[in-house]
Amino acid sequence: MPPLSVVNTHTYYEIQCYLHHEARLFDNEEQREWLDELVDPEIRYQVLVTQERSRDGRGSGSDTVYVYDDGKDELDFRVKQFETGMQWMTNPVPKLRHLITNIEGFQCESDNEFRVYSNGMIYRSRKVYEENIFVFSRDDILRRGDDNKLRLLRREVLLDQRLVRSKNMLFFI
Amino acid sequence: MYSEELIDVENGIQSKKIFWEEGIYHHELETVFYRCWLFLTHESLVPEAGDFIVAKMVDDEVIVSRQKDGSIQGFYNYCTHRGNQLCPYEAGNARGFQCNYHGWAFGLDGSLQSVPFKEQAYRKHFDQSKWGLKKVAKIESYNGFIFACADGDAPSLREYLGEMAWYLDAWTNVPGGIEFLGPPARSIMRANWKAPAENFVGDAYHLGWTHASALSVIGGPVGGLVGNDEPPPEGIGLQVTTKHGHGFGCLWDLGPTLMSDTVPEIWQWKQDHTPEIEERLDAWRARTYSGQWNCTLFPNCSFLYGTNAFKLWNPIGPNEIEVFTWAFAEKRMPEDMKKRIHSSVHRTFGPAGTFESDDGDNLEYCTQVNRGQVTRTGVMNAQMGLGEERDDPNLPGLVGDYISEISHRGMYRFYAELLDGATWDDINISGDLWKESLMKATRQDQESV
Ligand code: FES
Ligand SMILES: [Fe+2]
Repeated sequence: MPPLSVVNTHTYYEIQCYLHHEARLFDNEEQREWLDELVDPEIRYQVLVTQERSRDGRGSGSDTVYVYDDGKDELDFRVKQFETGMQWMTNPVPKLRHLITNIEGFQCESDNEFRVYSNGMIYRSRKVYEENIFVFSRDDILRRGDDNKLRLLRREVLLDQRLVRSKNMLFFI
Repeated sequence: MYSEELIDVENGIQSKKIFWEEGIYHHELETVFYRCWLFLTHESLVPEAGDFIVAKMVDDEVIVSRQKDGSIQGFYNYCTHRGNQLCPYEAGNARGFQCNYHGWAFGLDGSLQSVPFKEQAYRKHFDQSKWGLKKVAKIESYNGFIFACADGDAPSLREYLGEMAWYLDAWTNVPGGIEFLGPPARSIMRANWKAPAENFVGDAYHLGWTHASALSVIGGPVGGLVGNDEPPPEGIGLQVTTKHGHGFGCLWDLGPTLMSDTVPEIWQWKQDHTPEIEERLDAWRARTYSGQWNCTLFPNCSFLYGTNAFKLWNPIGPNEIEVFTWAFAEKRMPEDMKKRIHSSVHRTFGPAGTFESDDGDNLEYCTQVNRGQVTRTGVMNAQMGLGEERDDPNLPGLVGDYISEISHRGMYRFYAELLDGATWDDINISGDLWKESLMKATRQDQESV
């Protein structure tokens, strides 16, 4: 693959706005808006954890655990589940904060697609005492639609923990 | 008796202290976790000679490795020199293991193979042959599922699984066997190990309420369970408890519902292969093959067959566990089908699982409320279906309704026996007596008629 070229300032600004926008939607329980407006129908959304093996890589089988491995329908299931109002864990409202940083944008071979790297941290606090922190890196492809808007086409999140230090990860990254 | 204040077997009542107290937890480690066979991993994850997995038996790490002769061995994961952790990896393939501290090297078979400048450093007073790795007392597998036991006097794994082995054969003993699909997801839950163990051992009651959000999105027949408005129709399934505390339940007809969207061909697959189970075993077990199972293999290993999530609740302390979640499938299934089963399992019961996220709070807060000094003087009720237990001549163990807590009572009966210091001799001698204490209410009802 030829080296990717950095996007121009304007596109970079758009990408940054996109990432901040979706972070705000995640934190404000506006998952439906995210899915309908900011996600491409051909989305592949994955969150990975990797088993710790020797650097020599020897042994049988894969080291990858997919915490998420979803297409649009599966993401829609999760949003609907939230919308039932019967997902007891979300009452009282959990406090969620996405902090997104280290954003890089590159032009893909196709004119309307961009490879976007970012790092981030999620802070979750609920039921007075519960507190969790999740740190991750993301490798995204954003596609520009005919309406000129950016949408998420592929996201691969690498969790920087082997062990999820929480009972669950009931949020999008 | 140690258990007297804690477990009332006949009435199905348990003290809340068993979910919290440090002293009870340490007693459990010496009785329950010492006496019982604990799940380590599956043979399909160590297929080749030299393949290994580092597994947990509570706080002990065990290197489970495939030997050159194809057998499986288990060694405690520490170097016999100054005791450093020997293998720092979760899995891999190796000819042996070399310690990072001073370089002692051990073979795959656990023998001490080399010691840096041994001749000059140790001279005469050192017998290399005596310093191999420490073996686990017992390690065996049943249909590919590897378990180990610290008690050298324990019965074989097959005997330990007891009546449950008869049921397990329905899906674990298929041609080609079972395959575990990749490494486990690992997560932390601030729950006592018994909270999820009893949830999987036979708690069908929680489905319609705890999982209301997920079931209502799925809709169809399972949507009818939502809200626990009405009890499910009679004969929808059953729960079974056994002498060694294992319990299993089967919901007859909704087997692979949770993977329907991702693996639609699974229904046809089950239908196609049911006759072969009937031929090999019998019609009853062939029917369970396409059912949805809940199961706990006492003490801390659980699974859902039909959904195909396999769980280990490894205790970290009295009120915290590490959760291991594996996906499994039949080895003979097409690769693409296995791949989709893999993602379906983690999507429903992994750390971001649509069902897993419903359960976490219940299990954690059943545990955490007992921080309260007065709260933990209270008790828990598992009386559902008390007096309705059936001793069915055709089915091993004791049978109860699908929505009942018969398996909770059976699990805590064996738990109490172990807390009271029963050795395997005591347990074996007692034969079928275990049924009597569980059936006391039934017998009283019969007498009063
Ligand atoms: S502690 Fe392992 S070689 Fe010394
Ligand atoms: Fe559940």
